[in-house]
Amino acid sequence: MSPLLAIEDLSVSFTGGGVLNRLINPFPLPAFNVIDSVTLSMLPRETLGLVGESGSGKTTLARTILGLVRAAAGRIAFEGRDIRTQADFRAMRRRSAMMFQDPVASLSPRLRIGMLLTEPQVIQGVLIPDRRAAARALLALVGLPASFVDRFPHELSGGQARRVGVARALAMKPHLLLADEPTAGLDVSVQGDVLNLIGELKRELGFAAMIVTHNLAMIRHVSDRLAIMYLGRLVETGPTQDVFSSPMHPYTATLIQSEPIPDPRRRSQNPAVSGEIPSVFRRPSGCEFHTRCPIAQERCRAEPPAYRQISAGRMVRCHFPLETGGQEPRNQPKGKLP
Amino acid sequence: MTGALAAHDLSVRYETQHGAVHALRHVDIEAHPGEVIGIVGESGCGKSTLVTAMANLLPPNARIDGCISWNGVDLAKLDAHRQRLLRGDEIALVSQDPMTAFNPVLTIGDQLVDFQHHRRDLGRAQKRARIAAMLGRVGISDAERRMRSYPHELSGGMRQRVAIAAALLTDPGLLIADEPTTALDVTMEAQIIHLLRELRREYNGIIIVVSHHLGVIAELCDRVYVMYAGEVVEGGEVDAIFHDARHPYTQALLACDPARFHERLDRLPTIPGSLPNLTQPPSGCVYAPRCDRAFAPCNTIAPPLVKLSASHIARCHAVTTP
Repeated sequence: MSPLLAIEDLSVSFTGGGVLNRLINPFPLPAFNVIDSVTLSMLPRETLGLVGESGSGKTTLARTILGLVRAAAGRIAFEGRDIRTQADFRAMRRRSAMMFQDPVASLSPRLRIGMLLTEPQVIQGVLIPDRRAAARALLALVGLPASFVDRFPHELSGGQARRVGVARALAMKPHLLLADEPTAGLDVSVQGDVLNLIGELKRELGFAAMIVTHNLAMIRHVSDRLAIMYLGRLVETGPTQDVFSSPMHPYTATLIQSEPIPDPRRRSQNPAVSGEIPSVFRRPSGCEFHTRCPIAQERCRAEPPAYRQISAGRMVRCHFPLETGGQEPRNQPKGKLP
Repeated sequence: MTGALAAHDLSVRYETQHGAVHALRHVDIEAHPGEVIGIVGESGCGKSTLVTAMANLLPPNARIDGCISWNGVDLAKLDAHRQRLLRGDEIALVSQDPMTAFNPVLTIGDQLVDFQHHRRDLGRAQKRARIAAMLGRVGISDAERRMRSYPHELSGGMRQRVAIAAALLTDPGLLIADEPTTALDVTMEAQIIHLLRELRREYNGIIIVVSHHLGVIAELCDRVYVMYAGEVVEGGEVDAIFHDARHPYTQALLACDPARFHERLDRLPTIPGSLPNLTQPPSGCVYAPRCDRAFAPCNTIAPPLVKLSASHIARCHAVTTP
């Protein structure tokens, strides 16, 4: 099957300081890569979980894919066509949609839900005879009452705002949905609701979804494949079940082991990782995870590891990938940290 | 200083333009020195109102009925001055967002000196020495340099460590941690959980951990109170709550947590329905409209507090004493 989305060696760099700084400062701060040579592809109808901690660049990557952030280098192809110019991105955005992280902040407080839901069609120049009817149909799609057409965003609960976000993203019947932290800030009893809705609509409408999140417990149930990011680089990708049962990158293993388990009989012992995420301003030499990696060796400090394929569908950026099939630690990953 | 904390038949309502919001109703809890108590529930369950009442920081439109006693003193009946003294000296609060806990224009060291203003017996140099020792204890290396930093120069995890150090500097008998790891990444969260666990070994006051995250509660607490719509619906030892939950809400809440399942689920469990309107709390059980085990009396008669064992309680008609 040909990929729906293919990204090759995509980099995004932010320059130090703004335009003014560059005009007055003869020695401007160097540019640094917040996204560094990311290669990733998605199949039609697939659900990909893009996982990382704050500052890993996962949101920036999602925004770059839609052309909301300009890439410094690399290639994006959508449905087999290279996306280069702003016109290409505009055309691509007709067939893809983004659900932004803060559902209320992403809705204009002065517009009613009916107007907000049909804004994508108006912006894309799609003729709709009856905006209210179209909005009601979208509300029905996400299980909200038709009376919401006349409500304002501040009148919605967190879960309802999320549903409006889903409806608006699906207004143009996209082939690709990018959902940035679709459940952040929701209670667990409501989180399931939003994810079940996205899952049902995915089966019904057949779009592919990229879910950007830091919530491992949730993503394990909704994604087919995982991509783990650290400091703007992909460190591991693979089928969700395999990554959870036998993580190969030590960072993936520490993420899984760090997750608190809701069972007092299986309390964690020592934290799996110490220290903090370094800054992209001062990217560590060699492998960027060596400063926190429990199995780092001399080679890791000197030589950056290549992003390579270990087995079918599994890529990892590590000199010493964890072996599969050891004894089972607490959170069940087989790839074990010593 | 150590002492016992107890709330008895505690109710809090907020007077608003749209009528009184009964945010907390008939809450009974107790905590003893050396215990870590968890308060868990979803948004709107009243957990924040409860801890704010304990710290005596409720807004002026709040009306309190019942009592919260600390070492036998009813906190709600103290005058503002005595409340303030108690708060700085015996009751300390670690908030969810450590950024807002600090003054952005003063260095960490200056602020931590100010936190010790009750200690008239110590000079500035002695206070700074205590700070350096305490920062070391919460896992901050290079304490001297950190004391010269401003809050924005520290990462979120580091700020939370400093907030915990600040709380412990006053040697409080009651330490309230309100969502202490919610703003942090998972690797940082694991480190803060580990730190709190380490600290409790030497600390013999009460720690109250408020969280919506069942994992954090399971990792840290000895006893847990589960709250829903302003009421404590179940309370007990942490093991009883996670392995022998009796209240239908506790059972549903536990069932919703995707972290409990390792096999992929096609549909994530949810709790259908929504919270009752707390301006007119129902006369029967608050959870009845969403409960799959509700029967006739649930809608009209407030359920009794059923004592299941010495420490395990549940407020439900469907739960019977063994």
